[in-house]
Amino acid sequence: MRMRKLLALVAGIVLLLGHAQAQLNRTVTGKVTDEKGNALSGVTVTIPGSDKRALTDNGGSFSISVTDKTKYLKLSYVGYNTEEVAITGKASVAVKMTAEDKSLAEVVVVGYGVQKKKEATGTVTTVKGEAIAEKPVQSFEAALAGRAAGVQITVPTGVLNTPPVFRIRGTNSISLSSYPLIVVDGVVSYTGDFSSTSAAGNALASINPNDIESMDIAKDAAATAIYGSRAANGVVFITTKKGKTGKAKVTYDGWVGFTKAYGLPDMLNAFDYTTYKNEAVANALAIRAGSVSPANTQFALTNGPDGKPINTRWFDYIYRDGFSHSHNVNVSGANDNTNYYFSVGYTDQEGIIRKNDFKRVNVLFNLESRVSKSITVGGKLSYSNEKNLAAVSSGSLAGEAYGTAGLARTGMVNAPNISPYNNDGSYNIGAQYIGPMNNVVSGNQVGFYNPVVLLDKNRSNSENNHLQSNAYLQFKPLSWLALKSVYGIDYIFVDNETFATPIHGDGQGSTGSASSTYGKYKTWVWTNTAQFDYTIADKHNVNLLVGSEQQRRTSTGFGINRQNLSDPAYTVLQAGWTLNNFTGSALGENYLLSSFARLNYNFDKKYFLSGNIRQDEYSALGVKKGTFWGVSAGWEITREKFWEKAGLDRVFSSFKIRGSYGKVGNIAGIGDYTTLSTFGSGLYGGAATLGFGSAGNPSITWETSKKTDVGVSFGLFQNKLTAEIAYYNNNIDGLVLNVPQSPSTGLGSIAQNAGKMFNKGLEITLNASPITTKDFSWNSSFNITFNKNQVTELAPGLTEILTITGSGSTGEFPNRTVVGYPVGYFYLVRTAGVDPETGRRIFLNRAGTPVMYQHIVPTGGSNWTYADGSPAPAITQANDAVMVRNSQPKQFGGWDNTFRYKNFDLNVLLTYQLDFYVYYGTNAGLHDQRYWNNTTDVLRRWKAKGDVTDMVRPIYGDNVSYGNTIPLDMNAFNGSFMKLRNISLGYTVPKSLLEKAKISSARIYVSAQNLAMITKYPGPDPEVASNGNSSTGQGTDRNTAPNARTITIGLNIGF
Amino acid sequence: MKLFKYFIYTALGGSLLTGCSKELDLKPTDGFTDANAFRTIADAQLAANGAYGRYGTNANTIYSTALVSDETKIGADNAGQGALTFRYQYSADGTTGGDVTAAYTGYYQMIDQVNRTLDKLPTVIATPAEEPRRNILKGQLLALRALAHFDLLQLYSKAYSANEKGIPIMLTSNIYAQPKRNTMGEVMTQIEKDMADAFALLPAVTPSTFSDTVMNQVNINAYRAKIALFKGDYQNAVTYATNVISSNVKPLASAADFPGIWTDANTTETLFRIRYSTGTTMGALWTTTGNLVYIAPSDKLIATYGTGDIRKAAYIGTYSGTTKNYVNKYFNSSKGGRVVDMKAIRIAEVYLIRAEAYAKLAVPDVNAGTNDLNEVRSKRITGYTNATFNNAGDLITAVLAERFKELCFEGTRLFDLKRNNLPVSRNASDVGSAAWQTLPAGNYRFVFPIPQYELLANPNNVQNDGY
Repeated sequence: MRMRKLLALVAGIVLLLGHAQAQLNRTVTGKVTDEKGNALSGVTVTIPGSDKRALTDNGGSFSISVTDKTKYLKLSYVGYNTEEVAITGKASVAVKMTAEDKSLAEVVVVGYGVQKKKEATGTVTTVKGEAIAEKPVQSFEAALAGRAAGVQITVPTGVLNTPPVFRIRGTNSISLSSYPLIVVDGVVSYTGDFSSTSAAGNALASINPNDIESMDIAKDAAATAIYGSRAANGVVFITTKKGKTGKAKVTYDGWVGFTKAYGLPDMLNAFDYTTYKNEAVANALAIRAGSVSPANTQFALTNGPDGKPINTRWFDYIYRDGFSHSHNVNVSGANDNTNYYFSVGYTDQEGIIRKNDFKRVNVLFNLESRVSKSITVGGKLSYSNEKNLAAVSSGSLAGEAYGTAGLARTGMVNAPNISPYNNDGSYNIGAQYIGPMNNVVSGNQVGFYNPVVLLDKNRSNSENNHLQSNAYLQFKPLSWLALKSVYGIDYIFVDNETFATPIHGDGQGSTGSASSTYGKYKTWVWTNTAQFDYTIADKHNVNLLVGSEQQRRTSTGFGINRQNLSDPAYTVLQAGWTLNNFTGSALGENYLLSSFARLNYNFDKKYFLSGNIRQDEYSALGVKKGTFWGVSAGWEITREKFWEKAGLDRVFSSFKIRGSYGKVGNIAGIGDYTTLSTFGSGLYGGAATLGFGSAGNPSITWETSKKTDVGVSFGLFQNKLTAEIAYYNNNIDGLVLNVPQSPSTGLGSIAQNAGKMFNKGLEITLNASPITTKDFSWNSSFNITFNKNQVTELAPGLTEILTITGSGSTGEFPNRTVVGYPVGYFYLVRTAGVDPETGRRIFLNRAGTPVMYQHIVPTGGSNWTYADGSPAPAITQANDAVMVRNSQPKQFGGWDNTFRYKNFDLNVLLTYQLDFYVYYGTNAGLHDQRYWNNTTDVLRRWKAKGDVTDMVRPIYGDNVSYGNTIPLDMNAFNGSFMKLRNISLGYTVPKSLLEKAKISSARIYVSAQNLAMITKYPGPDPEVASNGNSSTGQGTDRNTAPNARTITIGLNIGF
Repeated sequence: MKLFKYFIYTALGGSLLTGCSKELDLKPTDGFTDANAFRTIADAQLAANGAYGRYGTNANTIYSTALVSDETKIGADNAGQGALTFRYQYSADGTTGGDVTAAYTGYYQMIDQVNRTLDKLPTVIATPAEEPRRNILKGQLLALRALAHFDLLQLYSKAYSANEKGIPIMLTSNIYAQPKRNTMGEVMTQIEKDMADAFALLPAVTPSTFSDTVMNQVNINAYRAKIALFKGDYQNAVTYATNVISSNVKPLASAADFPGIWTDANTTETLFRIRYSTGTTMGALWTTTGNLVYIAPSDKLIATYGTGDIRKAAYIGTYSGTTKNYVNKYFNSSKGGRVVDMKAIRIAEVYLIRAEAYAKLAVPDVNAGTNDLNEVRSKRITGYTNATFNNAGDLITAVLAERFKELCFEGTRLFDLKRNNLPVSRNASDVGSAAWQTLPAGNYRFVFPIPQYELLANPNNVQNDGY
């Protein structure tokens, strides 16, 4: 006992002495300059292992007291490389600090971590948040077009918050999703349209584009394999903003915008319409008396309340000039231990279609704090409320193309010689459709619904409450080891609410209809990783990540539909209705259990190797467990001696060759219980039943993508010009296809892993800074992607996949997917103009023989005849269509330019898609010879023998000659376009003017979206998708509302 | 270091342990799977209910055959519904042949439901008291399977000839099956066997225990009579029909009761019906709930009813103040507009089957046949005086005319014409073009096409002639 006490005492004394010795001070002084010798003030000087610090003064001088033990001083300064200076035996030092090479510090997000861009060997393209902030879009990806090679974005319609068609390196699936995996701050996000009403509700709209720091788009197997079975469509990592070192910063960003539809077709006015339709009736009757019923069919003008003939431009009632505004305020800051970013945003946008609005309130709070030397905690709270509002279907979302309530279609079909109002001010309503006024026609129909009634009375709204949050704990017991545990959630609560008036439209048949459905979509994910960073013998840099993850997703939906309104004055679900139906039922659950690892190794930053591997087990699959992987290698040649010897280093500032190969999967869109044969309950005559539902496939599994990628990247002339070139080849196997089974078995189809497809292509990105002077600079970035897609195998019994535009019994099938062609190729009947002799449309049957069509023929005659007048079999798509046109752009990309002159900045972004066709189905409707209104094209119709024109002799009732019943090649147009996607001019207010107002920075700008376009496409916009994100239904334009042109004026202020 | 270890164990090990692979076996909770759908006899009963419900496909048969025959014309508010079918422009393709190919899928779905249930039936749990239900359900299911095969045979094969192409016989559930077509003779043998087995398994029926919503000995005999007539086995047709008539469970309705059959006010004549408690499956085929007449009764049909024929008012409606006629058979009930049960087979048909069979016996019994015909007519026509016929041929013609009047919109007309090798002859006023006024006797369109998607998915099947 004594002995121990004594020992303790001795030890204590020794320690004290040691401590006392360490206290022996001396002072070291120094002067810090930059490379040019200018003094640097505010440089932090620290003693490693001590809390002591000093700052350099205005002359760059510092003074700090050190102990004998101190061998180094550490100097750090923002924008400069950190220097360590030996002070042993020195009383004063002179330090020259070198500016940081920004390209060396650039990092890319690679999944569960970041990597220096210089060291990355996978293909990742980074788009900075600034590029898409301030844009009048609802979600970030709508502004991504043209900004990254390999990325194809198509904004499908002017309906607000419609998810853009988003493809990375082509369409990579047929019946599953081709949408990339979106990972927001480490948590896989929901994607797609979560609204079940006529207002679109893109799940990604919850992320305020202003809150995004960067978007890293991973494309090849090496970069994506860490996401294993979900990586085949590419992975987009979204990183939201964090606080940056310095004092608290308050920023306000706001804009007001004015939006307008463009490219609307030029329709006949009331006078031309009336004359033209009467001519069509007369022509029909001249061919065969009694061929038009009723016998007194006649189109006639009606005088309006002003005593003048009614002449209605329906677009004026459907579209509007929208006004939008958006405001964001954020507060951010950081000190050595804690950084925070807090942002509040509000946006209220009016679409080009009346009553189509988007309103979002969102809050984001990012916080990270180092609570001790080795422990860091952090998290993110993000809440967003989005209101997606519409009165009635626009006819523009997937499946809506043929709806009779579709506003875009109504505007083109309804007769211009009738008004939405009767002369007494009441609505013009017929028995089922809009009233005919003085027109006398079969069924009293000269249009579909009266859009004004529906716009006034109906609602079709959807409200999303979206929570995306996470919390994490990081433990760094050793300098080379980091352990991290992250728990994240992504919850979407969707409230759909519709009302259809009983007086007119879709609600009339059921004497009014209202519904409210509620959907809960919840994801939680728990990720645990360990990361080892080690450098051996200075040159072997090793980075190893291992981790495990589990993710559970649940979905629940329920709702009610009520019909038969007791009093038309009611407008809400809770009012008086007599019929109640359960609707919106959904219940699903899936679970994904994964483990993964990544090894990065480089030797002397010259040779790079990386390997990623992930094992996923997914509940919805039959074969649940799969291993996915990607390997890559890179070689930075500029660091080789021979390169320098050859003098190439004077030309190339960098030159890297890289390549990767790997296998990843796609499971997006596989139903939760696809493996199981299910029985559902139903009712038979009021009694419960147990009925066989669907046949499961117990062996269903992921689609497999084998991706090869080879690329070079190099910089020329001190990186004044940099280029990245990559060739890729993606072979997709085991495509999940719904293979029809013999109906004799009593079953429809079974999902099977059957088909094969490939995408291959070339990506080129060029960045240049041709001019950089003090007052003027020009930065330019150009990218182009060449993509070739081809289906190489379908399934036995599945020779073709016809994709409907529209839905159910009303629709057409212009897109056809068969082996040997790109997915969704156009399968159309060929035409050969108008016969000058007779004014009939010339069709070509499959053999190429001309067959002419006349809608009304004398009794006993044939509608279809050969050139010699002999009867021909009717032309049908099934018998006569051929594979004629490509629906997928073969080249696409963008060209982004930023000019700065003194305080002015000008950004010009051009985007383009080339070498593809758009099937303009709307064009068939625009020339339909029933009561439908037509474009002014028909004014050059065939009138007499010998007329050479492209517009047939009008015969009332003819819905065939222009392709409204058979999809025709003449309605497929070259869709190549180049668009002035964005042009914005900004002015940064000089600091001298701001200081008095205690404002640290201010910029005002004016910008325009979609200001101009070069294209031969006759429709509103070749950037269109009537079938939304459908993989096989691209490039169709059927009754879709146009896109919007938007002018915004904005302001950023920093305090 | 302790903290470090603790962290490692919790973070990595912990997550792997809680992330249990058992969690990967998720099953739906809002439906059943193969593994748990059939536990008790009650589940088998629910599945049988499902099989009955699937006989709703017969509504499509009634509709498509009415479109092809001379019972209907295109209605005033038609916007294309059934028009291609009416104009004989249908094909095997789903886009133009939807009306005529839908039944193929529908009946085989019903057969699959039956086969799945039959497969599980022996092993479901039943209490001793419930045990007799096992055979009853088996009998009902076998009868339903026979019925579905028979309807397929009527639609997709020619008039009966044992060696002609029949339809695939399906007796087990197999999702990957690619069956070939059996001959009509083989299918007929199977139908007769299933009906006979069903009859043997089911208990005897009395007027008080009879139910027209399930298969039982009486309505099985009614179908056996109908099947025998189709086959040309007239002696058996007479025998089975006589069994039904003499069971007396459903005598012919009085003039007072008759209209109520068609509003579901009574079920005086129905031997088997499919119930609709809220659905408009039957009614809205002809006229929508919004009173749009898609398919109207033909002028030819309306003209056949003489004065005093109570069927005209029961079958044909006219919107007041217009000349717009509509099919009144499935128009209204107390359950709602167009919510009307499907009458699958009625006693009147059994009388007319027997009348035709008597006339077609090797040694025709014209008197007995005439009596049956007069029996039906006297119930339908006020002040009717009995007719007499000199020969079997005249009687057959009269019976067929009577079937047209009595059984219109019940899915028999087209089959009657086909069975007797007669043409469809429509009135000029019922058609828009002479091109579809007549379908010559024996034309290939009397046999509906096998759906194209069956041929694509099943290389062993073959298309009917002409398509």
